[in-house]
Amino acid sequence: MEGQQAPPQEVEEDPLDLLSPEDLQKYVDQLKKENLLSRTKTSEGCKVVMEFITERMPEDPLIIGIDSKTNPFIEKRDCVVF
Amino acid sequence: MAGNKNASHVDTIESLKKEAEQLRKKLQEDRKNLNDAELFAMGKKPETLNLSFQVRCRRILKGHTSKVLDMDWSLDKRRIVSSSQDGKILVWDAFTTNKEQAISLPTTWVNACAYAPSGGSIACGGLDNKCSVFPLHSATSTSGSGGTTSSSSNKPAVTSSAGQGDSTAGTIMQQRKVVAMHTSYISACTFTHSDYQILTASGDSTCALWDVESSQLLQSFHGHQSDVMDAALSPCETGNLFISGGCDKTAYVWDMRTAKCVQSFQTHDSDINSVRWFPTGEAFATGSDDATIRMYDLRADREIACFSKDSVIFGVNSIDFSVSGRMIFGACNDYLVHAWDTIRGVKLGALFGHENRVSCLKMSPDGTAFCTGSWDSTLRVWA
Repeated sequence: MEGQQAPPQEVEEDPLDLLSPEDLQKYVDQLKKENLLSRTKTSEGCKVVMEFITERMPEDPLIIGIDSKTNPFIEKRDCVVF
Repeated sequence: MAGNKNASHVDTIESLKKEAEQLRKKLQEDRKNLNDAELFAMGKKPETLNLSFQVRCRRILKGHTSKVLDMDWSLDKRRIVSSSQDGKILVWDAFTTNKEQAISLPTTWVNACAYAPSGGSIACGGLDNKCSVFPLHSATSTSGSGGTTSSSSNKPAVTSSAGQGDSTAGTIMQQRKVVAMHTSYISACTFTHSDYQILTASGDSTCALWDVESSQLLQSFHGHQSDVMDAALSPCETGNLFISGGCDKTAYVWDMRTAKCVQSFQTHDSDINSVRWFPTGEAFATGSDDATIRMYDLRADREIACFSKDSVIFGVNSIDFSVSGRMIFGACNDYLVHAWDTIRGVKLGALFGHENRVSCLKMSPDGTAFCTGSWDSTLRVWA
């Protein structure tokens, strides 16, 4: 249709453009270092997380429920009315 | 000739950028190749207990006259320190909601506050670019020497007579110790495992470790490319690591001894406002303006979970795990606290109550409750 134009192309700013040459070199050095890291499989990491959670859940006050005897923030139920 | 010099300068930058791109791609590939499991898939096994979400607001702490920006629990599990745009630091007994001490600072916007491990002092900082330490009056004594008497006791504090809790402007400012100086605002501060060192995060894009006694800078951590919004020390007793997150959407893991960045993670789409360790010290989570909470595993060196929901579209300001790590809470700009099941990824619910943005959230040391602070000038304790 008349008058319809494609929206102006947005040029995405590359954050690397904002770095000085020295900072850019530092960034590259950091990336090189990180590439050398030895990594474990995700499944191992997740397994450790799951095991910890399963082990600690029975003592997690927010999970095992509320009880005025064990949780000082829960109001005791007894009131005395005169 | 100047022209040639410029050309080779540009070439260097171009080749560095290319190298950075290649290295980033390789990093992504390596991380992907080891990604053999999804946390949420593992959590969906039938053995996993179903959670019933029964958290409610148990206390409302009223006293600030403007936005609450930060809060911290004392290790005694009942006292809370809070800081506000009104320039005040308040120390509360969360069981009774009594205010035990009030400190008026000369500047407004106290973005950060922290309780010392002994309970005998607090640290705070904000737009003044400084982090200062103030001694706390113990509730049972009237002296201003900032002893450590009541911190380890669980007995109800004897509230001293009215007026003793308020520190007169003159005396408390005399007891103030400026420990840290940055070149921009302080966004976060925390004591390390003792009262003698403080870690700060700043809008000047650095984190720093300071000696409280001498106010000396011990280590400076450079790497963020924009304001650092939060920092958290490893929960491991012998831990030397801390994490930071900032407006460059990146979370860094640092070694405090070498001041070197050990790992970095950039998967958020916007500013990271909050970083918290998972209790094992081998994983951590971040809350961001992109309305998600993400979890990262250090040994797998990648993001292992993303907590989001179509209905959650406002920035997450502060997060924390429940004590077992099974639940993760996010304090949001939509005035709500959202809760997720960490291993299933499902949203458990949302907590209503605050009447403005929830700016800070922290679990109590024994996990019996968590506290939130809000721009509505109140703090709430939930259990």
